[in-house]
Amino acid sequence: MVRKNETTKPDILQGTLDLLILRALAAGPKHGWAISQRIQQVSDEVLTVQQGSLYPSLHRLERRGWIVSSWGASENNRRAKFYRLSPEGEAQLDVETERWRRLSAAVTQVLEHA
Amino acid sequence: MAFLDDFLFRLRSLVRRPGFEADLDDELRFHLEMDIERRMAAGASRAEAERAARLDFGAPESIKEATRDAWGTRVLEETARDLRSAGRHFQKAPAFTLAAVGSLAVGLGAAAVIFSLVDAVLLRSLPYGDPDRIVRFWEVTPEGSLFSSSDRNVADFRGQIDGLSHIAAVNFPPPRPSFGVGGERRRLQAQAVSPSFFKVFGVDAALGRTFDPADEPAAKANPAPLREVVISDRFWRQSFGADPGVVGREIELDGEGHTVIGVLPADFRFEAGGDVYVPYLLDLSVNRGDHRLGVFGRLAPGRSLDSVSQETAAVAARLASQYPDSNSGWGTELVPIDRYLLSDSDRRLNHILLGAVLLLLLLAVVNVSSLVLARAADRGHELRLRLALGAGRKRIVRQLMTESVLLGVLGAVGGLALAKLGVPVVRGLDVPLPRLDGMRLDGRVFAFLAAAGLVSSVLFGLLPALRTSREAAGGLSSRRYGNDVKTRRLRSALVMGEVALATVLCLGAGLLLHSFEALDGTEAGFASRSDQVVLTQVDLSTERYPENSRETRRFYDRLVARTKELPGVEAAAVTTLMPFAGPDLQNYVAPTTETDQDNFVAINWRAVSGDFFNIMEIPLLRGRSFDDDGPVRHGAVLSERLAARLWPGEDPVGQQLRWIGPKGPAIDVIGVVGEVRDMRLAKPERMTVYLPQRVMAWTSMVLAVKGKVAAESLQDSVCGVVQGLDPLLAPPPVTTLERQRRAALAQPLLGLSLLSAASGIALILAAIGVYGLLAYALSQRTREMGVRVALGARPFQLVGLVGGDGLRLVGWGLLAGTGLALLSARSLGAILYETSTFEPAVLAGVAAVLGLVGVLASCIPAWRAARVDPVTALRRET
Repeated sequence: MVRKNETTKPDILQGTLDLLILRALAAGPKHGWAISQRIQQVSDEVLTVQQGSLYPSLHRLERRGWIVSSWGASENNRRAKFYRLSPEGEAQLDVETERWRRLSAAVTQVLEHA
Repeated sequence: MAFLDDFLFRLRSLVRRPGFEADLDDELRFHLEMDIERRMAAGASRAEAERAARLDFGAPESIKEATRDAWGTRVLEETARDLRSAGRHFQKAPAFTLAAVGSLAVGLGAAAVIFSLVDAVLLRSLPYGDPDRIVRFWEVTPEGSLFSSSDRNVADFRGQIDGLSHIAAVNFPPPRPSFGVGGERRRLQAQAVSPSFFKVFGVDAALGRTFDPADEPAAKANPAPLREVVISDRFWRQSFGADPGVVGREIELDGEGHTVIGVLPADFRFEAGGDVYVPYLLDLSVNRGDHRLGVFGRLAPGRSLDSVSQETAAVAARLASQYPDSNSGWGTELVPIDRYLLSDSDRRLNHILLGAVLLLLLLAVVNVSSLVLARAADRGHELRLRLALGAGRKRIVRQLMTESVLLGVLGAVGGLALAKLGVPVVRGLDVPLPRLDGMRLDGRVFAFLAAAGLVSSVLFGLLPALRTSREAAGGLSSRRYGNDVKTRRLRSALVMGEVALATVLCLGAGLLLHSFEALDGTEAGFASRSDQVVLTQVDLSTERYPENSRETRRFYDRLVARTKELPGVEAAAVTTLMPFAGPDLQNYVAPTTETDQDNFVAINWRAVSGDFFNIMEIPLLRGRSFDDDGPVRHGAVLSERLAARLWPGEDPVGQQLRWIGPKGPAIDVIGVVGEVRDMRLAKPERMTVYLPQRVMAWTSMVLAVKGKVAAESLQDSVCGVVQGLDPLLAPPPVTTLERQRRAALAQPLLGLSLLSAASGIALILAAIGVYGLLAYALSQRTREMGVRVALGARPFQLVGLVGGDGLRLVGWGLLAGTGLALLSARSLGAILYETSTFEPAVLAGVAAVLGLVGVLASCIPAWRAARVDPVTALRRET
């Protein structure tokens, strides 16, 4: 599948996407569309989430028990599948955030001093 | 728990699959709708928005596929689909399926049978507690052969060696008491063992108790017998219907009551086995030089074999200086029990059989690999189509591997069925291999079959799968996929490999056959092939018939006299030795002038009565034999070589020899006879001394009867004479010389039979391989054949063309196999008799057999090639 703007927008790594999804859900339950929009907006349109990665990720996170899903009515009153963080997911978010911080700090350090 | 959650999720998504699918559809549709709405809100028309959103969204099917992946059910579903499709493929190609499953089943089945034998005999741990702490305690004679021990020596070893926590003696030969129950008498196999015996072997009774070592507090002269018995599980089931109340019951052995104190575990085995174990108490009245006890010991905790060996050697040296007459020059050697129970040649045979198993498995793998490769090449078009439609190469490889594993499973199931037939046959053979009776199809053999099936299916499947998928990746356009040169070369190499493996197995079997024939053809020096000589093992009670007593002498005198009177009997004699079974008695002799023990000659000796040489047809070269009546007189008959060694150039008759050592008794030499091989056909004969049975009147003797008629008709009347002399005796077992000789050949015959069976199977597999390759190549070359015929080729030229291919394959395979066999031949050398590992006759024979197989496998394809109709062939597309 050819992705638009491939050259300007960075690919989101698998683990990173999981982190972003968990973070987006930390603010409250959302459906898939809202999650992708949220990530896009908060990152000032730098990060776009492809559906081809989003839904497999959501289902994988659900399989691991970090998020749980339920069907509810969306803001425009349609049937939509909402995801929210489970207690394990909240713990996992902390772990992943910490890992990401350390990683990015390390990368930054290398870029500046190496 | 995370693992469990994960598994439950997968299971739920698999079971509630339709619901999951519908939910996923809804979820994705909702996403798309939201995007469309966003675009319309930005001002696009409904149609434009929908188009843009769909473009942006991508292929919903591939998103769904990726999401299903996340459910973790995809692998399962695809495998199920692959299995179904494999089943369809197998149905469509019954010949291929039959050949592949058949070769696997035969290969795996034969391998499983051999494995279960090797497992029972060699691999399975011994049925003892901590078997690696048990040692066989040998005394070593001055010239270095392992020897049994004497009562007084054992008592001293027990008192002076700290490194062995228990030392047990086993009396030799094992007693065979007569067991009386309800008026019937039965001869039992017994073992007379020290009370500490079961402590040495680390075995507790399954019921009741075993002997208490405290029952033998201190050795003394003529100890009072301890009337207790421990019985085997088998005897308990056979004679007492597995009654748990048997403990404490009194049973009658040789007319004496014995109390059953325990029943042994079902898996306990000791040497020749035993229905009953009776206590043997060391008897200090026996001469220190009378070596007839087998000794076993258990290493004390924390002591190593080396340190205990040093300690026992020191004790033996002390005894030698203390009792120079009997112990001078004698040492000790400790042998771990597993090495003692399984001789080096038995061990070697088992390793060779294991090697044969591996070769056979490898052969089956190569054979099926070649078949699968041909089959996969036929399916090139289908696979190409699937690749073009978007299946990944990995996916194709997985599909092909699933088929292979299915073949492997089917083959293993077939192999199991064959093994179920084969195992009882091999176990039922009367072969003196220790623990052969423990051979069975159990979890270990199942595990072996499952592992062998799985590993082989991966091995035979992987190569074709990788090749085919790579080839198919070449695209739909290339048409001659099946005939791809590389694939054909690969198949040729595989078939050559098969022939090479079959050659190795056939050469092995051929060498064993050569060796067996040499052994079978060996002249034993007596009438070993006669079925007119009937042998009866007579076992008297040692209590009622003590050794060298008047009662014993009288019993055997009367036995010989009465047997001679039987109608149809030509001659009768008794001997201490059951030919080819033992016991092998050893001693030392020298001329009476010899004063140095070191110059005494180690000999075998047998005690026999007068007609023995006549019955056995051992030629009497000089002098005379023993008298069967009149006053009891000593005397010795020597074998030819011994006479020449002791008195070179002199007449030995009339000389005197010294028995045992310089202080031993002197015996008149009265005769000289020919050499014999009466213990082993293979072993170079040791020289023999015969003594008069009336002087050495042993409790157990063998009655040898020569009939004027076939032996079978004499059995009952001989038994009648034995029981008529003593009604307490059980009917003795009766055999013939020829049967004894056959029994001595049973073990080499077993190795030969198993290896021959493996070779036969290998030949069939190799033939299938060669045939399959040629037939397939021909089907690819029909057009070429047509052109050749059209251009004037004669049928015999085409036959030569195809047949030549076949013979070339066999030729190269034969060459490679011979090379391989020569490299590994040394392992076989140790069990061969008068056969070199490079035996031209065997090589020629194997080459001829393989050549014949090559011709047979080539002849159908060659015949078909000769009948190619050029018109039909040229019209054909491929």
